[in-house]
Amino acid sequence: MIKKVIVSNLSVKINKKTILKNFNLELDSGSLVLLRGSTGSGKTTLLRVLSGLIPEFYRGFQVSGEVKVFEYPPIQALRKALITYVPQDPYSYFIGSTPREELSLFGLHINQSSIIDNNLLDKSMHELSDGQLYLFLVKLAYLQKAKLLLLDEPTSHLDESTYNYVMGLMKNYAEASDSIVIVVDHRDDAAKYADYIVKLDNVQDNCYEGLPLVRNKHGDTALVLENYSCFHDGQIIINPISLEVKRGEAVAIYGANGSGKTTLMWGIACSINCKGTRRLSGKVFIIPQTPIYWFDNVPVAEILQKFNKRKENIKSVAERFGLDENLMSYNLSIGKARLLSLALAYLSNKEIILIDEPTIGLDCNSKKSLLETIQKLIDEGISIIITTHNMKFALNFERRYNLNKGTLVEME
Amino acid sequence: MIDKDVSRTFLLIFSTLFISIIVILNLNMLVLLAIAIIALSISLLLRINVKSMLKFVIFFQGFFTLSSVIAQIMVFDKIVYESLALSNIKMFIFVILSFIFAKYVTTTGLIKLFKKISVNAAVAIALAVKFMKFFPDTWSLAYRTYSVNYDPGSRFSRIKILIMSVKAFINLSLYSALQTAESLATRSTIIFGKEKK
Repeated sequence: MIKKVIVSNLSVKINKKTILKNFNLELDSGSLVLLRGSTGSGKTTLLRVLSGLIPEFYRGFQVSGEVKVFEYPPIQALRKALITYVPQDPYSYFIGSTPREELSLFGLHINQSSIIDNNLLDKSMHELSDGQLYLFLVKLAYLQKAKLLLLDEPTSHLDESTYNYVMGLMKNYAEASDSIVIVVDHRDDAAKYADYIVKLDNVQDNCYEGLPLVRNKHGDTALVLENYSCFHDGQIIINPISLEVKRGEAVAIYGANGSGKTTLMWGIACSINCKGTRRLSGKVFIIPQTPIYWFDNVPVAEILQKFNKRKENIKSVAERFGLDENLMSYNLSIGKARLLSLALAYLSNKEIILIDEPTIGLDCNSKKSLLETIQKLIDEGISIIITTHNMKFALNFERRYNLNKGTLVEME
Repeated sequence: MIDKDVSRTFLLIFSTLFISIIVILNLNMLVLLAIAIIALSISLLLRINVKSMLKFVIFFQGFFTLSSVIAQIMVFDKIVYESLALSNIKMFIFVILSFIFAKYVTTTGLIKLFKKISVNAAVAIALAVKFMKFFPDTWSLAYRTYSVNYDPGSRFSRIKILIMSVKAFINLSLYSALQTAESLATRSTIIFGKEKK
């Protein structure tokens, strides 16, 4: 049988740093392949090589070895529309400024399929949640009917039910159209959909279960919201809520894609239009959902230094958070950018830290380090509020809330 | 058959260029009045949200006036109020036109229109318009995040926040351009239909 994707002795380097070394892979059509590896192990690089973007588009990479996709070099396969690539970062990937424009570019109309909800059609791409953007990209990719479909980290963006829907769709697609779908994923239960699992290193599963965060019992109140509601373009997004968070407490707000989690975070930071009572006993630090979208493109050490209120040694902070201090910030993977934001939150020495979707792009070990860092911070009396669509991660938090269509309810 | 998107795009580009040429060549009050009427008619035709246009104009106009004053001070020249007023009027017209252009010209329309002439031109122009549309959101996210995270206590801190936000904004725009270019690279066959299976 002819193998449809063949990778022989692939090595990829950038700035003398080896990302992949003598990597081999052979895949048959009609299969869904799960590609696993720790944060920064080269998963995205491999997808970019398979799609022909490296070295054709990203010129700084040195690539050796042979790659064939349906008997063509990757760039030729891409030009023949045999490959579709869904990137890890969906924010700037769209060309149109609204979903309707994007659909029109592809010659599609909304009544052709249920690609996106009607009420999201004319919204600016920036108004869509991370999960809504990613799902839209996946559906567009699906409609292109390519023979090789590459999905970079859908778990990071999609809630449980949407994720299962996407993986089911991909599995059926691979089988029905005799195509290959390669999914990069950190989720432990993704294996049930896969025909093959390819591991780039010894990435672990289930490494942070049974690590519940223990509240620091200082008892003072850090944050109080009473009858607090938030708006966007005059429309209510967060219904009146009440929430109290103590010093040294970590609270998780769980919610599906588009439930209003990001709006609530910016509302707590008082950076958008909200009504009601909001009392804070300290200063706030916010880590936005799009981690890279507020950094300047400078070395990691320089960014850390800007926020170093603790006057700590930057080299040791970088090491503790698994960061290469000399790397330029835009060369970081999404997961590493997330860790950089967390390091900044730590260095800023603020009393309340808000983290929007902390698990985006993180492997199991990085999630474990994240929990350990949160524990250290709450031991110091810092209060942490996170939003997440990952229930397994939320279970480590003593107090959890469910946000559903703008309504917040405490979970058992 | 020309579709609605293409004809609207063509109309807007044509009127923008036409008005710009009149402004550049012959600026007087009569022309200004004509321009105001044309702009108003277009805005009524396209149902422009006047409130959001005003916000846009105030932001850019303020920015432009301030930078003109700073530029004149920096070259140790006296501020010439007359030329400042004149350049402000030109800027005002430019701002209104760019608002109409950015808000009502669709990227799709541009790609469809220009790909008939040149795919490269279509890509370049589509990218330019996409960025005009995304600039306010990119700026807003960078500025909001620095404002929350970097204690805007003193006036000095506020200036520092502004400087950091501007630096981040410029780099983010370049990063965003790279991402969009990557998107075009992977999807150009579908959009432009250059090479078939």
